[in-house]
Amino acid sequence: MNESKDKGAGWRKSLLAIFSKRYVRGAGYSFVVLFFILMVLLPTLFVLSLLVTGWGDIQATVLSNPTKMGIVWNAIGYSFGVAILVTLLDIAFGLPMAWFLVRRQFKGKALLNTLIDAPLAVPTAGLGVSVALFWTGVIGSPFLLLMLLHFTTTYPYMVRSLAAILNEIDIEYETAGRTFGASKLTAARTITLPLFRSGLATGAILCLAKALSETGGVMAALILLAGSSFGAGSGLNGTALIGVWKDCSKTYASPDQIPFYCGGVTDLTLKSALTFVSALLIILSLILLAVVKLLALKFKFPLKKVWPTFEARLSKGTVPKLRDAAAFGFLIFMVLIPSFFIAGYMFIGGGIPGVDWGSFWNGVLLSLSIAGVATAIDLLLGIPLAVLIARGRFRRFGTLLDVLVNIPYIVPSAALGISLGTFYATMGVKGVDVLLVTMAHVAFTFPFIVRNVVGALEGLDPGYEDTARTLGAKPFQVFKRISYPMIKPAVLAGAIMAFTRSVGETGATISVSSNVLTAPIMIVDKTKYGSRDLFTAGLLIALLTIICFIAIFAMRVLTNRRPRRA
Amino acid sequence: MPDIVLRGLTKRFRGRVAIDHVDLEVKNGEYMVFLGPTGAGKTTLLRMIAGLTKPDEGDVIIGGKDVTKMPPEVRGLAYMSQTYSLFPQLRVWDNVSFSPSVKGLPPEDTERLAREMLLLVGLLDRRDAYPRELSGGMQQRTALARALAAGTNVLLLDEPLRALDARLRIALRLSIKKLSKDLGITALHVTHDQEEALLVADRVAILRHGRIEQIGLSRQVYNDPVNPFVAQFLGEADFFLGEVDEVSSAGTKLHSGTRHWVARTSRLHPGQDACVAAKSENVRIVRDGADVQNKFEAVVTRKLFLGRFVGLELTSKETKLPLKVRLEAERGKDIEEGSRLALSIAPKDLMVFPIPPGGLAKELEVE
Repeated sequence: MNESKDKGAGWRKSLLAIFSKRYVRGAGYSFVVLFFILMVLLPTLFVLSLLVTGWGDIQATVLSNPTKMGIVWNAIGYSFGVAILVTLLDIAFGLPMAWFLVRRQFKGKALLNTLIDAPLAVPTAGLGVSVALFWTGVIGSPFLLLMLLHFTTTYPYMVRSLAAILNEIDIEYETAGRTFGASKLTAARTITLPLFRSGLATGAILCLAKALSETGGVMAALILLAGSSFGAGSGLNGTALIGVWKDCSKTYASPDQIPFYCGGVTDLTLKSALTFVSALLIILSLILLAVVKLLALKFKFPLKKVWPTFEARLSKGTVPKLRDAAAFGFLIFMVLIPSFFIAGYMFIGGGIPGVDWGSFWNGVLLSLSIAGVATAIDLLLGIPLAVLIARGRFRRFGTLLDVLVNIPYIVPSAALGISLGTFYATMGVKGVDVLLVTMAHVAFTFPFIVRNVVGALEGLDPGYEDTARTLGAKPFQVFKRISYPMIKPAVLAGAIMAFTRSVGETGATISVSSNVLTAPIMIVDKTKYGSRDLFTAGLLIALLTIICFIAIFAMRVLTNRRPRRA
Repeated sequence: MPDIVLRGLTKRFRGRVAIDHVDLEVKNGEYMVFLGPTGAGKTTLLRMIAGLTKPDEGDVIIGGKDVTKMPPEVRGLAYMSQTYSLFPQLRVWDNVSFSPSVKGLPPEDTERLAREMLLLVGLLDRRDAYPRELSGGMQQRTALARALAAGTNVLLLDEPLRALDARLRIALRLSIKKLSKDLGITALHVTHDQEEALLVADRVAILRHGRIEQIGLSRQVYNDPVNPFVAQFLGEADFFLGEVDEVSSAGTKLHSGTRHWVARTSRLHPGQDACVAAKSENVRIVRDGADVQNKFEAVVTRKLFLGRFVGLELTSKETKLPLKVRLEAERGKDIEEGSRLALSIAPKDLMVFPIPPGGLAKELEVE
């Protein structure tokens, strides 16, 4: 008994000694960085290189074809137009809500928090179905429908980011301003709002990225809106176009397998069109990100001028009440009810074709396994990368990695999928579609873990780690015994965000392979003209929502249990 | 064993020099205090000795061994940060047994060490408490016990009293010193509090701009400062400017304006401009007709109540610069603002320095 214990200890000791060797650690970190660059970053951006090598094809089949170019520009315009407009409206309606959440104490705050996060639990394909059904007959314009859809997918991100930063801004500043005679509005506008920039930037980037990325929800909503006339004409955004063209650029065994929206013919030249659209989406989203970052740094809140009486009048009476009413109205009618409208469809009895339980459970299990494996890989390799970024000795290199890590998140996941698919096809990796889909999921969920852990480590007083070192702990022991227990909530939060995002992902899955039928893919399929089965879609949505909701709830509980501080 | 020797230790942060070619020897069992204003480089110096900051130049030698390139965990020193950095997720017991446990000591030895150290600081009954449940003083003692349990002979203390409230700080000043003396430990203690430094130190090293300005016994650095900065940093001092007339082993004769002074001996030469200084408590009030050296007149511009003492601020034609004097409350009770007083400074209390480069005002800037 004792002997085996000693043996275990000896074994652990020698492992620790190996881990603590400087060159072993160096090799470990190099491996992690190499993995990130070769398996995450390179596949994500690979499609850009095809702009050069495949330029001839692109010119011949896309650039010289006015119809296709028209479709492409229209789709790009839809993607960016919707994303930017939605982000601006999110700011307008999210700001008062965040303010309300942080600055007011009231009963039911926890409930309101849960309600705001609730749409995050619904797989976005489900949101697409739900929003489209809710607005059926009212909305005829695809552009407007996409905006309404994206309120539900992005609003929680905006409120969360704004509330997080508002929480950190000391209310004392505002109180001080008010004791000097500023009205509530003047104080908030001139003192707190300028401190807000970073929160606004984070929120805007999250919303833009989410709106640009969304594929499954967009396809489901547009299919429901357009019915049999859904297809590669106008009225698609960038990611939906990728989804459609991906399906129509394949060879099918028999003509009746060709999706209805390809108009009965497949077109292999769409491959270079896909490359072109994906590359364009990637480049434009990176530019947009850079612009937002730059704005956040340079932008000065322009209104230095103060109108004391006017602003004082706005701070009292009906105006603030109207503002709060508008914020809540938006939350209820634009976000919550449309998100959960699908629930009604599950209770429609009778006349429903039998559910194919086999493929139903296969889809759910496949989704959960891909998400599970991707999250595990994220954790295993993302944590060391985060440590390197936050604690590494090479400052510039860390900052560079920090910027690069965000790229897979910013890039629309459908474009990422196309890029990654062509990368592995070019490398000659074939046949294991599930593996490739998993790699795509690793790529776009990787930033969740890394960002969260970097943030937590940067917030951690390095005094703990320094002290532990001088007390004789080796770097690995310091991490395991001291740092990790303190950042655990952030790690878990990152893992759950990565997991739920992966479970609900459509774009990165279909653009890599159309043979991997995860649950969100099935949801989109069930909306298709000809094979429509909203009951099964509703069941899938409900099941995935419950799973994700439990995960989000668990995250809330775990992160609220604050690490014990001295 | 652990004589600590620093040779030409230098550190720059983004081109700004934080520590500038510091040479130092700390003897085994010595209690050494690094004293200096904020930004003088005290903490950087301590961190370089601990191995937490890499020096750009120079060597750190401990017990005859060059440890400059070694990571902190093998140096065998215990570093205590300003906030103690008690691990919040661990109980007192696990904090104290952290070091023996990560070093892989057998459980019996770990247990024994932790028990011994907790007993030593009187916290064995709080072994199951979390750090946040302890008072400031208990947290400090826990941190001390944890450092001692590392089996170290050298304690590196970065402002060990800073996080305590004023009363406790005074009460605990001597306890760390007593503990380290009892255990025969070498201690390096960083502080910006001159009173604390003078009280606990065997020797004090006064740092400014990354350099050691003076090093010596508390009484030496207080009574025989090497420059105006040290003179005013320890205690309170009055300054004025003059010109040297004559230097001998008996003293320095000098004048400011038409007024003549006799001061301590110095290495200045006749005709040289000088900066003359005296500690405030050495400026004495004398009877009008008293026959004493260096007698002069001044007018009280402000009287400050300081409890046991009264502080006087005076101006005098003779010195041009304003003066500060401190006397017992009882003796100062009849003095009013506007009173004219006769003052004198004994020649042995009057110090003479060359004019510092950059001028006297710059030398005396607090920041």
